[in-house]
Amino acid sequence: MSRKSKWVSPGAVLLGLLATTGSAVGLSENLYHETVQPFLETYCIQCHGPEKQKADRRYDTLGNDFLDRDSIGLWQDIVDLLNLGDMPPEDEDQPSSEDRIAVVDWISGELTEAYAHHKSNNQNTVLRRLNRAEYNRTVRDLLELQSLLVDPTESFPPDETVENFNNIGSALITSDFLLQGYLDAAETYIDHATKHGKQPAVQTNHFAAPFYKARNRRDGKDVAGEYQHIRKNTTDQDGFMWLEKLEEGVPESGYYTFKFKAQAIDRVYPYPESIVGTRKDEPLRVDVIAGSREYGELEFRTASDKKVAGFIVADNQPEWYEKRIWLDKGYQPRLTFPNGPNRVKPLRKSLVRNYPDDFQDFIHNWTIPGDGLYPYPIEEALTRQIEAEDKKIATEVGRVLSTDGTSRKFNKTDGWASFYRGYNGPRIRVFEVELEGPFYESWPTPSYQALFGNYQPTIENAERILRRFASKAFRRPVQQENLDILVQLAQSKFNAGATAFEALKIGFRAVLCSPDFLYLQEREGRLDDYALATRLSYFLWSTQPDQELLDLAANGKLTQAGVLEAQTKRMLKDDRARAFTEEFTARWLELYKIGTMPPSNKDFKTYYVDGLEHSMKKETQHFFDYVLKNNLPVSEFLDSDVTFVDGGLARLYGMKGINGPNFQKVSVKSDPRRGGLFGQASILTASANGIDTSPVIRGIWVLENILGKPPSPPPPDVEPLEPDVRGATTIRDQLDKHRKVETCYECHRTIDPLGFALENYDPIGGWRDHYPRRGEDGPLIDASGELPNGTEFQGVGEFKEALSERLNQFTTCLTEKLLAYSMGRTLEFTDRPEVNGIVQELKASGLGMQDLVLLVVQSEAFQTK
Amino acid sequence: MHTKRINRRTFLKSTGVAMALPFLESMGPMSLKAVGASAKTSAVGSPMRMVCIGNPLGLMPDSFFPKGAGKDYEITELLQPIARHRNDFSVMSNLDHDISGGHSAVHAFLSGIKDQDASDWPEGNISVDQRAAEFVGARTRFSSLVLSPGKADGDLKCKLSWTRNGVNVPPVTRARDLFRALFVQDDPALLAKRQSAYDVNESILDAVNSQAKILSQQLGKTDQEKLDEYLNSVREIEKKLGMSREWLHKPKPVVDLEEPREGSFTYTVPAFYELLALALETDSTRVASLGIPGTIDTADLGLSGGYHGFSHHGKAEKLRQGLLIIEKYQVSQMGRFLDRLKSIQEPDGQTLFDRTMVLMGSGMGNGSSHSNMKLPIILAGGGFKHGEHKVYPTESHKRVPLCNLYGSMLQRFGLEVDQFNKGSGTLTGLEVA
Repeated sequence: MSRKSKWVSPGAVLLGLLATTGSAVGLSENLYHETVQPFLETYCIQCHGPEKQKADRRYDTLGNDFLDRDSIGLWQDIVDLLNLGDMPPEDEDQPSSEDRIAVVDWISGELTEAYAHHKSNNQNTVLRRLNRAEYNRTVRDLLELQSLLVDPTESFPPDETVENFNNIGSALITSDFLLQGYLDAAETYIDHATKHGKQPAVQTNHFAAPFYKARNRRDGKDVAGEYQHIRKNTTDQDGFMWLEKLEEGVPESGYYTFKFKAQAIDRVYPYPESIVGTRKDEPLRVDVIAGSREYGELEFRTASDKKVAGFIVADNQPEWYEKRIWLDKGYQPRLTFPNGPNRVKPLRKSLVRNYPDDFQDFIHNWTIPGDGLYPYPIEEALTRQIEAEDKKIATEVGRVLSTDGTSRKFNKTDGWASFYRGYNGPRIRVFEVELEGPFYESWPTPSYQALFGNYQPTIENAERILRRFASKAFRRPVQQENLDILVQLAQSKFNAGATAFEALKIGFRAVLCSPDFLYLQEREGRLDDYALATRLSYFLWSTQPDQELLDLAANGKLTQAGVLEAQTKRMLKDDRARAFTEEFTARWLELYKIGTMPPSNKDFKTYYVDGLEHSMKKETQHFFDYVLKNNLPVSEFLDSDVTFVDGGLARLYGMKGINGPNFQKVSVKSDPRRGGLFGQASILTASANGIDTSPVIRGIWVLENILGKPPSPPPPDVEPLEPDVRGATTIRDQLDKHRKVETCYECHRTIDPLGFALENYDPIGGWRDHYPRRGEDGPLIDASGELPNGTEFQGVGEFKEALSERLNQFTTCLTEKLLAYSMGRTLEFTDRPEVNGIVQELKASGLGMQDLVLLVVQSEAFQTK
Repeated sequence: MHTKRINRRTFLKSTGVAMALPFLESMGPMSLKAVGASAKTSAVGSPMRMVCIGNPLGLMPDSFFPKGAGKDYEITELLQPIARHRNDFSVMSNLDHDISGGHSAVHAFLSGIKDQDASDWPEGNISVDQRAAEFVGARTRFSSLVLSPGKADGDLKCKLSWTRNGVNVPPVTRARDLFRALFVQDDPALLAKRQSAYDVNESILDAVNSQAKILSQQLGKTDQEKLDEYLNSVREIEKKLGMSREWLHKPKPVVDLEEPREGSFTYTVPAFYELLALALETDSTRVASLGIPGTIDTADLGLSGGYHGFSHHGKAEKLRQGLLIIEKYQVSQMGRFLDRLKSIQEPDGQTLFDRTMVLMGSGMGNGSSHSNMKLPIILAGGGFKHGEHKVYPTESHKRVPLCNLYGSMLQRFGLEVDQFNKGSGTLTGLEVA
């Protein structure tokens, strides 16, 4: 890469800051008139003045009033861009480095004083409610119902987001829809938690093949009384093997031992992988997915589906597979074939046409000449005889649905069976199934004890029981006034005829709907120990503080020297810190978008066949964990020698010799295409739309999440580009207008190059040297670009090098994201000095990710409302 | 990260009062005692209804908009499925909301205002159907029905209906659920359970409301305003519980229709339309919206590939053909719905079609380019003068807001309003017959 213009090293800025703090007003005024103002006039005003206001910025009216908040924002912008060398633009006159340094120093000094002045007016976290994920984790931990399948929060309105974060107090709304949701959810959760009475007896259920009647897609190779097959993917219609004998589900919620005997058949099958999809060198797998008849037919995917187990199935002989699973009342376990063939209808067409000899019975009895399934030329059919057959099948099937564009298909039961008799593709052969339970960790259950403790459920114990539960739920001792309301509620229900047990349940439900539970309790100023414990546990665990934290808070020990640091380290080692990895990466890197625009099954078959949607998120989570747990420098995110892959991702990345669903660490030292965030499929998928890539969208992703400099929104009157895939023009050619038109160029010079660097990655993160075009390679991809400060790069390897020179900028961005996420508020300009302070301290100690988390926790911002 | 955000919900305080009025007015002795036919005919003629149909990916402009203007326009390929109704609908060109954002602006189809801009407007980003629903209040069992045949997430979800509090109304996605809500009598044991469930919830709301008042006194001003959302929600639910209680004891209408089963897209869409026609006929509701999600299973239409994928045709002919099939299906189903409405007689002699405004369109003008300008709009029924292709100006200072159409529709519905959201008035060229 080459560099054309001079730029100031961050070291000079630091010196500048130290030198000018405490400068006298008079000296500052002189400097402004003698040095700064002329600087602006020479290098800035012609584009940011009375005639033109590029990027909506105007500096001639700026003055040197640092008491005005808007001015402060503009000045901070100026000093940031001068420091990066992004301004003045490449092709304009450049100031000498002495002038540049002098101006940067002056502005930085003024800003320091300005921030100190404005600090007393800074933003607080607004009363912050638990978001949906936090609510669920909290209730489940509070009531010891972690395994519960039913999720009453599914009907909650989605959480409001700001800058991709869904835990920002000021943005999260409580509407009547949501409150009604809380009322209903509380009822469901408390009902589940208050199982009592006699412990249900353990029952054993044995199931023999066929486990369900496979209606019109019956497999002709099934043998009644011996085995039944699963032969299609979970995501294909009716891809579930369910237990018809247990249609209503288990009669009691609890743990069950689930066993089944199965064998993988024809993993190495006689057709090409391109037709069937299932990988011949990957073990066949079975997933166990619980579901409830309430939500729909058990043979199909339903809204109640929850995966409870997964197995690799052996080829050579039948084996037993077993797991202890939790089932809610009314649910049953179903077996599916996650890496089985997807979309069997087109599969059938392909096989019948390409291997007609295997399917003679099917062709002669179940296809119509002229129909897509009939593999021979139509002239070969005996016309008169076939016409009569045609009419016969049409009247037997009944009135054929005829809407614009629907083609006719004949799906009689034995038709499919006939096809499957000739089919030698991969199958899971299931021989027997057994289900035994319910079992409990204790009786009464841990949930019951979480609610009642050791107290008897009488009305005399109402105050004791409710005080204990409400204090746990409210994450601090409940106030007497508040408790009285709850006791009064239970008492009045009891007086009106309810049993004590019912009355207490109503009290519990009220606790879960109380604002003291739903909102984090933080008062102005320094957070008290309970508020700090809560903020800390929602930061690192997305759930309520545990007993150890609460005990420290109760004794006022949380803020003592070293305690907060020790607790943070403990919490990061705890299993619950998984929530931090999952939630923070989902929000910072926009991974929550994955799955909302699923790619085409035809163009990106591997996304489904290899289960990439799930795997790619896991890769980034493993990687984040690796950097965090080992306290590695945050520069690893920009480029790294290491990543984590399973069989599917290894295939996507062109790595040989890795199979199966387990993740392993791999070295990518020799492959600049992978390593660091930019090479990870998750980021590349989240920043595309499932169909094509856009350098603008990806460029914005980099600006917002890596460089912390989100661009201004596009002007409302710009007509968007209509992509034209017919011609030879690439997206780069089409975006040419961004360079040719001045008003576009201002913003797009910072956006487009970042996206071009990533153009070699397709919409699911696979590498491509050419753009796709039907049947052949399209134009060669040009992934070169130039950053606003003149640094040029050819492709992603050099791009990552160029970015590593902006490590300071990245660290600042990451710090800001982490702070916002930890506090539940977006940052204000008055937070800038503290952010800078954290970044400086982190640099001095080696940029470790875990050190960054510790610095955030110990910061004044985190410990203040 | 340094932009300052306006507190989005400071206007909530006033809405509590504003919302009460239409409801209180409608809770007079007339509306709540009678059910079905008698309530309907005691008004002058039968009441107006409003149905809004949308999708998130648009209708292909080249195949949708006719060439000529006025009465003698040539029927285009996408209008072909409803050609038999041509004297009873109007197709409109060059209307939109003057916003941009592609997928992220589509949800503003029925409001004109993007979700994130809601706090700048006095009525938030309320959609035209919800505005009408507020007006109806408790006069019908359901103030509105929000429907969507199929689930979706993110940008491909069809988010048509918005309340004035900025909440997207979650749709009913299963025909079976809609059937049960409309026509299945709850048995007395279930009714008693519901009644006592309402009692319990009311007591809980009472208790938490008191707790909130205690909490409020301990908070600073900004937090108090935030907590007001909670307090307002309590009040809203108490109001709704009150209304639900009233309806609890009224019998539901009896219809000659079997409960629909779970089915494919091409089964569910006609099922929804049939239920909707019956819901309107029995005055179970007077307002509905139907959103086609961007994630429908196109295999039901004999295609392979996702709806979203087809909409990104990039001018490739095979993909355009696929998209046409999907869009024609949607239009033809709407056409059958219009047939159905025309076949239903109201007590006052008019057809249900004459008393129902049917709007069909999208917040996406061109799915391939992601433009939100020049939206596809069809308006049918409602007793307006139809049969024309209305072409509105394209010059930037002469553009007509789509919200003007909504203003006309709301007036026709019975509201005394001058304009709606971003509109400047009613739509010129649209007259009552």
